[in-house]
Amino acid sequence: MGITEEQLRDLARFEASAHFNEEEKLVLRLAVALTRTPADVDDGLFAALRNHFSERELVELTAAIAWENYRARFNRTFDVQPEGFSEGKFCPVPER
Amino acid sequence: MGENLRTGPGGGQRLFNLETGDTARAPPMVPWYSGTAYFSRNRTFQYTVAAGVFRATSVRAWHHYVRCRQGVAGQPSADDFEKGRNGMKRTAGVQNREAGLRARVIFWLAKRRLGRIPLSARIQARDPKLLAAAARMSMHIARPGAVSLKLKELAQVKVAALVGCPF
Repeated sequence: MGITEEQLRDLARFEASAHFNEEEKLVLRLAVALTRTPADVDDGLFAALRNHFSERELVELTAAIAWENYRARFNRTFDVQPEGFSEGKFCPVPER
Repeated sequence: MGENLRTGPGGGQRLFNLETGDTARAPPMVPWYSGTAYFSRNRTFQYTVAAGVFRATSVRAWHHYVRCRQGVAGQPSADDFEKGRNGMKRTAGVQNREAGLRARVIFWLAKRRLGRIPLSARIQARDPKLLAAAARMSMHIARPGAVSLKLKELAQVKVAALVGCPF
């Protein structure tokens, strides 16, 4: 249990990281696929996901990812600043 | 103001560069990372890093940790704290006095759980039914289900990082 420090560090380059197991990498691939525009989960990724997860599990994961997209994007209209942290800096993992 | 904020060594410095993988200046496990983090003046959230394993009760805590590790969170000044406390630039959302019963209940729950009412909740309270639905969805997602919470959190943090969400 728990996200390791190595995983935190390697999140932006998870594909090449040895600190994520195949299951975790699949979940991260799904997160990336659903977050980019246009969102698209190709057949290969879906098949790989189905090998590891049941349909119920996939529904949960997809819902979590989609919901996080809602939460993360909602604030952009109102330019909500980080709350309680330093001004103007937001989770800055450089992935773009 | 901000006097109860916990301080830690290296506050405000760049501690870790994720792009270059420069960990040379990342400090060892200091209280900053292994103790209590500030969240509001009256409430803190807990996270610990022990034996290289991060444990926290919320994605928000995880974000704080990442931000500190990347050296961009740093230690907030009193001004930062006050601005951040409102988190406000374009709207202050619904204030307590103008909130209806539904929004008040959710504000109360949020304050109990998070120590304060997030601005995003105040904004969504312009549509109280939306706020209620969003709160319910958030709580549902945060529960363990068929997949582990770790997997869900991993995916959520990745999304937040890609979108650039202001935690």
